Amino acid sequence: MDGDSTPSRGSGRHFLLALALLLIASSVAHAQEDALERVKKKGELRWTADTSGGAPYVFEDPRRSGRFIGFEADLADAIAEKLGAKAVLDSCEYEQIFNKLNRGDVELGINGIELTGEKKKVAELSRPYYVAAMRLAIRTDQKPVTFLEEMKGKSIGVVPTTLAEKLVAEAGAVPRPYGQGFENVYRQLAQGLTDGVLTDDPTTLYYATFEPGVRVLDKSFGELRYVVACARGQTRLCDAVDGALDELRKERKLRAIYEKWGLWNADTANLLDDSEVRPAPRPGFDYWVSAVKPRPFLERVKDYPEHLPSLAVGALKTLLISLASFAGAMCLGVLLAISRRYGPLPLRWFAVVYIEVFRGTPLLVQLFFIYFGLPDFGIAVNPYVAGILGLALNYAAAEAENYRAGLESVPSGQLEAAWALGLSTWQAVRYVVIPQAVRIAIPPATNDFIALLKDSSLVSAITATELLRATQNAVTATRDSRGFYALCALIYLLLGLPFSRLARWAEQRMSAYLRRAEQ
Amino acid sequence: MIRVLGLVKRHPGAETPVLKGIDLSLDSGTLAAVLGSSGAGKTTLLRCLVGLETFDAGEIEIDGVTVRGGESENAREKLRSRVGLVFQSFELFPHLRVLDNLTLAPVRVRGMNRKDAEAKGIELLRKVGLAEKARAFPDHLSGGQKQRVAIARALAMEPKVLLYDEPTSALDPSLKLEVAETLRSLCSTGITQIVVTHDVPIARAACEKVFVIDAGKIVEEGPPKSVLDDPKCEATRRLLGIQMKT
Repeated sequence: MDGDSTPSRGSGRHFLLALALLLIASSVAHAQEDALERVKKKGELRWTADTSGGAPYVFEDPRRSGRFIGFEADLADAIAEKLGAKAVLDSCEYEQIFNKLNRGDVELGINGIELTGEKKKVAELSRPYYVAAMRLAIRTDQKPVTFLEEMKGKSIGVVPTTLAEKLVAEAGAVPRPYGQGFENVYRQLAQGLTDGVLTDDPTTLYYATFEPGVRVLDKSFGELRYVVACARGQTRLCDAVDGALDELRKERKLRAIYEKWGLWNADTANLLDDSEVRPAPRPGFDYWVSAVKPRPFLERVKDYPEHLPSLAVGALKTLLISLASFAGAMCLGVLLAISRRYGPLPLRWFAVVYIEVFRGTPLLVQLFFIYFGLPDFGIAVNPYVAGILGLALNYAAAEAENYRAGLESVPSGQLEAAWALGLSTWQAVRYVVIPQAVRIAIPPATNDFIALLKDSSLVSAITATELLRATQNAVTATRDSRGFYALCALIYLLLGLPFSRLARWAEQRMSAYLRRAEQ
Repeated sequence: MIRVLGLVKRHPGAETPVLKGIDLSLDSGTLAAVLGSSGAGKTTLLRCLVGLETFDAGEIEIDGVTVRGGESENAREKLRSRVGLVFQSFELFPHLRVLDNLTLAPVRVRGMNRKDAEAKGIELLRKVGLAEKARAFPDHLSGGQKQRVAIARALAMEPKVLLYDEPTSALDPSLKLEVAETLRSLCSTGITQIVVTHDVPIARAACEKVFVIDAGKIVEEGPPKSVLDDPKCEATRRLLGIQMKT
């Protein structure tokens, strides 16, 4: 019998696999486990930072794709060594650092985190390891200001959730949270889209100084003390980090790191009880300058192959995430559609409510809820599983409606004919209704898959390094937004192309089938 | 043996019942017709017999199994395994080849081995003269061929009773005799057949017994000769197109 198989039979296994992974992941996540014990036991210190936040903190090596460097990467390595472990970076967006810590994915957050009263409430903070000044960058044609209040009503680029954002708001100016990469923030300033950028001076040194038409005011608008963050309650680990930092200070290893990156300053010297500023070689900074100095387009293209491997890995992950989640969406969608059409009343209601909820709320909100919200219920999964789960649950609702249309297109006489032959309702649905419904449902399902493939870029927001996030890392490393976002779009297009061809072919087959049936 | 006693069926929300106490009994191997104009309740009766429809009162006894009014789905399922139905629109499964249409139920319901089911299917197709269409899809068959496949499909489950819903309505008039022949040829197998129709010629040509149903009641029954040539009641006359003398 050639018509008695549903297309989702094989893919069901993948869904079960994802489900199994989910269960395993949730059972090994212990949010309250002692972090220091874990570090010592596993010999690895997991830490997080926003790699798209850029130089000189933690950023992708402009010349070696997939490698992350920066003064905080050096710092993490040094701390890990003191704790007898190896530092492992698990990046996320800056705003998500505390979420990531508290859900137990990582032990430390090291990313220019400022010492503030608010941040003390959400995490354990170490002693300060660096003092940065807040600097205001403006266009060269603007009049310099001495007080932020002079910028009243103007829009100023800031990193969201930082002190700078608060100061800008208090001065009556409009904070403009930056999106992706600092080079864009300064470019927007140069283009007149904003009137200033207020950030820490490491950032201004690495970005503002390279943007034509932008200058950085000498005046410090505030002093920031950077601290290492641990999850709330992990005081033993936090004490150990303090100890490590103090040893590194005494051994002058902190100073060596700052000098390498050109960041040694008087305030930090003061903080660390060290001598005054003196000129020192800064190989880290020089490396950055040589790698990112403005070059003509054709020359930049030569660097693209260097980043292709990490984009290819990202594309592969995007494809796998999409295939796995769509397989899940199809299985769950079939169950929902059958429940809604043939199930007993409670099941029918469940299906209706499920479909309304998942279609009526944004996918991004669902992803955030799964990734950051579920750990509160003891279900902590890695970003890939969370992404697959979120996409599958969301698209199941769309698929259910699609399959319902398919089921409804099968005349009721077919079901009765199967009943009259003695088949049970389930057998009748399984062997008679579904195989016919599938032919109606396949063309729209293929289109849904292409939509899912594109929506999978949202998974980057919960820190999965898929295609979009790999692109963002490349952009930060090369300061070439134009080239890499275009390349990224092209890769999405190429990934989707075979499937849109498949959809068109399926539609043609379908209409031929319908024509035949009408005769 | 098939026996129906006082069968009452009321559609939910309807004022008057569709079936108002049907009594009917037939010996095994009989080929009978239930005649009636549209709305008389004949299709509802047939759906009750095959277990597709619930009924409110009375009982149906087929091959030693009795189902009473108000009984559940499970009880009606017992009827389904003993009664076959050939639908007016045939309802062949368009996604399955002809032979697979025949083997689906024996394999899935009876748990029959596929090889045996196929051998039996071919045998049945040969009986209805369509062995060469075993690998064809239903959409490629003519109306008459579809009907014969539908009959073979029902026979594959070895029902004691086979019901036909308006077997001639979807066919060319020229095929009517062919249908009558097919039905008669099955009589020798000992199966009880009931044809539900408003088509008088087919009843006359093929059947041994005729029931006339009107407004939910059997109003006349007997051999076709006596019922159709000498109608006693008005409903039968109307069906035959005879004007009542006033």
